[in-house]
Parts: sequence; structure tokens; C-alpha cells
Amino acid sequence: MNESGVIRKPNNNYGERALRIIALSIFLMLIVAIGSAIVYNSLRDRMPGIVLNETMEYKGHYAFIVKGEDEDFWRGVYYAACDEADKGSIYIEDLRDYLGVNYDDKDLLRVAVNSSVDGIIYGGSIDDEVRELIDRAVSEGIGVVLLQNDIEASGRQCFVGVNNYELGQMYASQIADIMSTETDPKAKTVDILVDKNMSEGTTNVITMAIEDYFADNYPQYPLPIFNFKAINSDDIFRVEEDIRSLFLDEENLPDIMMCLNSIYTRSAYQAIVDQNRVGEVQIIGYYVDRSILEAVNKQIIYSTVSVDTWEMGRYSVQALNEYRQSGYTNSYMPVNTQVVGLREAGKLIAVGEGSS
Amino acid sequence: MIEQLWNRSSIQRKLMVAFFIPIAIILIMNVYMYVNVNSMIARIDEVYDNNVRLNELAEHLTELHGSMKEYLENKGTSSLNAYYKADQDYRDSIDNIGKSYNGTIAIMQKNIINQSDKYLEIVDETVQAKRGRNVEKYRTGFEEAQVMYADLQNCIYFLNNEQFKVNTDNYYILLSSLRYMEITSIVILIIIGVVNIIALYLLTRSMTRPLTELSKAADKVAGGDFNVTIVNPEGEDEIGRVSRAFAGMVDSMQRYISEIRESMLRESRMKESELKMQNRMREAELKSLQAQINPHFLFNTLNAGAQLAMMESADRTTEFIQNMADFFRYNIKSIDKDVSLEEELELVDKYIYILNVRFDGEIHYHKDIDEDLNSIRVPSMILQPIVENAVNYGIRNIDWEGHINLKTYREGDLIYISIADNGVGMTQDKIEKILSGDGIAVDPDKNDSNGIGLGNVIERIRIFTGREDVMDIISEGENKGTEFIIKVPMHV
Repeated sequence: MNESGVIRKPNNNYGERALRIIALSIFLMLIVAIGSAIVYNSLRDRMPGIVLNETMEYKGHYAFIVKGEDEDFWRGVYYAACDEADKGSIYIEDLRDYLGVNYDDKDLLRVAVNSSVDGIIYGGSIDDEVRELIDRAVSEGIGVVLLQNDIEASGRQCFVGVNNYELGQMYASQIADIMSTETDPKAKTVDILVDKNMSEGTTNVITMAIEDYFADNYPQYPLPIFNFKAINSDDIFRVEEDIRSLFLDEENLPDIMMCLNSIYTRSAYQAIVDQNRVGEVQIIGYYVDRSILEAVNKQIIYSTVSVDTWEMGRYSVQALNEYRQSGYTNSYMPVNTQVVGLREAGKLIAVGEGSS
Repeated sequence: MIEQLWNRSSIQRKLMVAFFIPIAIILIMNVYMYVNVNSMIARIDEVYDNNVRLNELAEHLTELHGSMKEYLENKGTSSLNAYYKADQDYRDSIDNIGKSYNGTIAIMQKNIINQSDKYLEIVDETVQAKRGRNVEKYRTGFEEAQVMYADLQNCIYFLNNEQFKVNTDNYYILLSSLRYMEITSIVILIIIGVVNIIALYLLTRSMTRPLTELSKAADKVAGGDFNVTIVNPEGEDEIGRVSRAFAGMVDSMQRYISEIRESMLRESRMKESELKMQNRMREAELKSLQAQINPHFLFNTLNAGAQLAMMESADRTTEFIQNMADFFRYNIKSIDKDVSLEEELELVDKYIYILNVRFDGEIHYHKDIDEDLNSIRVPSMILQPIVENAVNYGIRNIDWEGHINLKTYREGDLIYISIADNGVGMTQDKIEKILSGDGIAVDPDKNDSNGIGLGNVIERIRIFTGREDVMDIISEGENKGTEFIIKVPMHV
């Protein structure tokens, strides 16, 4: 029989280990529980699109109403306006987004006035009904800024855009440029594509400005012969058809075609290529975008008048802000314009490629 | 602190803790998930609330416009009442929507509310004009209201559509979120469940391990192996207490067995020494019997001789025979008993007397006795054989005068009985042989011996005292004499 007897081995690990196991498992479970709760909450919070509790609070609300045919141009103005408005937490609402299908610019203006917005940026057609709506808006304390076409007789607070006379002089300089390439320049026939709703006053201002330019700068040149071609801008598809038909009328093909918006410019450019009339008719366009610049660069379009849409958008919001704050603002804010010819187009394309 | 509390807890409490905490965590997680799912479902319900409100608004607008138109057409009281009711309903619906600048949807709602205010104003003026029979005014008012009604319906329709699109997106997002939550819940529950199972397994194993080891130890103890290891005897729970009790029990058993074993050993030793003693006695008796065929006869004869000598007035002869008779009587009676030291000394006196008669006083015997020690008990027949040895081997054949000195004294707890002669002495080798029991100084075949050897004497003293060291034999060399010193404890 072994006599060494009972060895008492204190199991120090017994209690400690049991405690450690419990502590570790609780710790693990808590980590899993809390971790998953945190991950879940953060994922839930990051889920896009839930706008039930949108917290963006605007300090003002301006309606942006323009005529729909010159989309690229107005889109540029709208973005500039939104950019400027963001600085003051102003919401710019383009009513065409949801009412544009059934409503024209005048209807939208009415809705804006009835909605008691804080300001209206209007770049649509001009007539008496519009003037009345503008006056009503102003009487209800709504500031109104007009873009492109002005109604001086209305109560609008500000006009932001290009002076038509100035615009006419810019077009005249281009016509003179075209004539200057000829040794014995003859009177040019100039088709001026205008909206059928454009007021006679506006067209008169433009022709007067051209005539003045020639009288002042090129008295030796015969004056151009102007033909105003009314284009129905209400229907975007008609615009293209109307302009294409101008090129089909071979007998009455003009020497120069003056386009007063970007839609006309693009349609004319497309039609002249399709009808193979490049060189026969010189197009003087309006607005600058990639396709128009390419066309200028390829000499399909002789030159184009660039209007600074960014300035237009910014100025319109600034004018409304100023009016809301002080009760008055500048009645006219001119925006920068520039003629883009072959040389400028090349540079702009290069800059665009460099930046892209 | 926690560990101490834990160690002091009972198994029941430990298991309760081990089960309760994971269950509580699972419960809390379930409640958390349940609350989340509920809030999610509530949000899904809420998603289409706006659409419902806008639909109500559109319906009330239609009712209002219709009732106005009806009133304008027939100017009936019921139509007017219907108009007022519709007007109130519409106003209530507008109040439900709320007016704010918070987000694009809210701004569209604001547009609707502002348009509605103007519409209500126009409608009210139109109805008033109808009541005032102002035909022109109510006709113009109606036309204006008609336009505004269309605008409002369009705006409501669009807002409704927009909200429906957004809400549908939200709905899908919430649904996917719900699905994600389901998966998360299942994963969490699985993880917690697995962790729980592992933890419980480890925990119960760590708690039952001492029990398992205890049962193994019990098996070993049952098999007679007391060399066991008991884990966790310090634990305060039931297992700890059982472990301690078991350890104590094994200890007790072992001690008890050990005591029994020692007791048996002691008994066996005692029996052994008793047997040895008896053997020596028998041996002594046998030798005695061999030497003296009939001591009783001799003793009686000697007594008769003594009486005869007395009658003949031969005093010396009487004394001699008397001493002889006493000597033999001692031999007969005392061999198996312990006697007083005094009796042993008297026997030596008688023996020396007898020898001196035989050898004509050649032996000079001296005593130095501590009287206080006379009563000490010693085995019988231990001094005479030594004296006999001193006479026969020490001084018998020497040329000089033989002396034998006997001395008793005490040092500490030991009594010393010294018997010294000035005879031929003894070699160290022989001394060692005698002390180890190999050498027998007294030749039992010699006629003048009582037959008891030194080995017998030493052995009996050892058995009597229970000590090994009972005799010293000192001799300084040849012809230097020999001293036998018997050492007996005071209290045996």
C-alpha cells in the first residue's frame, strides 16, 4: 500500500476559469449584440432615399419659369441659379418638372403667383397676359426677375440678360466680317430666325442695331436684306421641320442665317449638313455647347454668340435676394456676351479637352 | 472580490448565473430586435400616410368644387350646406398637410396650401356673389376658380405621384432593411447561441471536473490506493465541501490503518521478544538441568549435610554447605523471574565464598555497592555468570594475586554494575564477538560452571530492558584485566 496519502491540489483555476469563461462569453455576446446594433443602425441611417423626415430647411422659395424650347441654355441658367441659391438656402423650383407637360410658361407663372412663392425668375414668352401676371405677383409682394426678354412696362424688379440692341450689333459685326472677305461685297440676304411670339419691337431693335452698326462702321457696305422667319417654338419638332424647309427652298436660300437661340442654331447646323449647303449659307448662331463649338471649328457654323448663362442664373437670384432684403434692386443686370469664331472655338475645344 | 463571491456561491447559484446571463442577453437582443422591427413596420405604415392624406385632399377639393358648382347652378340650401361642409373638410385636410420649408416635398405642399388659400378665397367670393345675385362677378369667379381648381388638382396629382415614387422607394428600402434585420437577428441569435453553448459546456466542465476527479479518487481509494489527488479542496461550494470531507475521510482511514499496523507490529515484536526470552530461559534451564541433574536432590542433600556439620559443630563446614545450598536454591527458583539487585549481589557473595573455599582464598573479592540501588529489579542470574567468567578466564591461571571488584553506581537514569578483574584481559576481537552474541565466554561443559553463557546473559538483559546497549566490556590489553559493565535503566 502506498503511504504518500491524499494530495490536496488547490484548483486555483476552478473558480477563476469559470469566472473567466462567463466573463468572456458575456463580453463576446455583448460585443456581438452591441456591434450588430451599431452596424445595423449605421446601415439604416445610411440608407438612401428615405425622405419622410427630410430636415433641409429652406429660407426661401423661388419659382424658375422659362420657355422650354432652348433646354440646354436654360438648364445652364437654372444650375447657376441653384448654385447661387444654395448659398442662401433658397429653393429654386423649376415648375416645368411637374407641370411642364400640360402647362405653358404663362400657366406656370400663374401657378407660381397663386402659390405665393417668394420670388419668380421668368424667361418665357412676353405678352399682356404675362405682364398682368407679373404685375399681380409684384402687387402680392413677389419679386419678379425677367430673363432674355424684358417688359419694361411691367412692375418686374429686374431684367437680367442681353440688351437686344447690343445683340444686334454683335450679329452685325459678324455679317460685316463675312462681307469683308469679299472683294466687292454685295448686299447679303439675311434670314433672321425668330420665335413666332417675339414682339415686333424686339425684332425692330435688332435690325436697327445692325443697320446702325453698318452705318457707323461700314458705310461703304450695302445694307443686308433682312427676312424674319417666324419659327413655331411651341412645338419642338416643328422647329426642326421649319428650319429644314428653309434649306429646301433653293431659290430663296439666304446668304446668312441668323439664329437667335440654341435650338435654331442646332437645327440649322443639322439641316445645312443634311442638305449639303455648307458654304452656301453662313450660319451665325447663338449659345455655346460642345456640338456648336465643333460645328464652328469645322466651319459649318460661321460663328456663334455666347451668352454667359452662369452669370444670368446667379444675377437673377442675387437680384431677388436683394429685393427680398431691401425692397429694391437693379432694374437691369447685363450679362457677359462674346462672339465665338473659328479661333475662339479652337481654343475652347482645347480647354475643354484639357479639362476633361 | 468577485472571484471570492463566486467561490463562495453554491453550484445552484453558479448554474443560475451561468444560465441567467446568456438568457438575459438573448432576451434583451430579442426585445431590441422586436422594437426595431416594430418601429420599422410602423415606418412602413407611415410611408403611405402622405399619399392617403393627399388623396383625401383631392377628394375634398373635388367635393368642394362640385358643391360650389352645384350651388351656382341651383342656389339650393342643401347645396349651400354641402358647400360649407365641403369647405370645412377641405380646410381640415389642408391643416393635416402642414406648411413648411422643410424639403422639396414640403415646398410643393406649401404651394398647394397657398393655392388652396387663394382658391378658397375665390370660391368664397364666388358663392357670395351668387348669393348677392351678382351674375358677372360669380361667372368670372367661377372661371377663375375653375382654372385654379385644375391647377390644384394637377399639383396634388403630381405631388401624390412624387410622394408615391419616393414612398415606394422608401417602402422597398424599408422592406430590404427589414429583411436585413431578419438576417441580422438570426445571425446574432446563432452567434449568441453558439457562444452560449460553448460557454455552458466549458463552465459545466470546469465545475464538474473536480467531481469527476473526486470519483476517480474514490475508485482508487476503494481499490486500496490512498495515493490520490483531490482537486479544489478549498472551494466553498458543495463540491469543495465534498472534496474536503473525502480528503479528511481518506486521511482518517489512512491514519487508522497506520495505527492498527503499528499496534500489530508492536504486538508482534513483543511476542517475538517474549518468545526469545522464553527460549533463553529454556536454554538456561536446560543448561542448568544438564549441569545439575537434580538440583532439588542436591539442594536437599546439601541441607542434610549442613545439619550434619552443625551437629558435629563444624561451623565452617556448616557455613560452606549452607552457602552451597543457597546458591543452588537460587539457581532453581529464579531463572525465569526478575529479582532485586541485592539478591543478585548476595548470590555473587555466595558464589565467591564457595570458590574461595574451593581455591583456598585465592580470589580477592571487593564490593562497592550503592545501597540505594539494591531494590532495582534485574533479570536473575546475570551477575554470577559474569563473575564466573572473570574467575575462570580472568584470574584462574595468573601468577599474581587475583582480584575481582564489583561496583554498583548510578549515572543519570542508568544504573551501572561493574565487575572487573585483574586477569589475563581480553582482545578487542573477542569483546566484539561476545557483545554480538557470537562468543561464549563461559564453557557450559566445564564442571565448575552453572552453564549460563555471557551471550545468554546479555540477551536476557536486552530483552528485559528493551535496549541494545546493555553491556560494555573494557580490557586494556593482555594481562590488564577485564571490566564488564552492565547498564540497566532505573525504570524498566
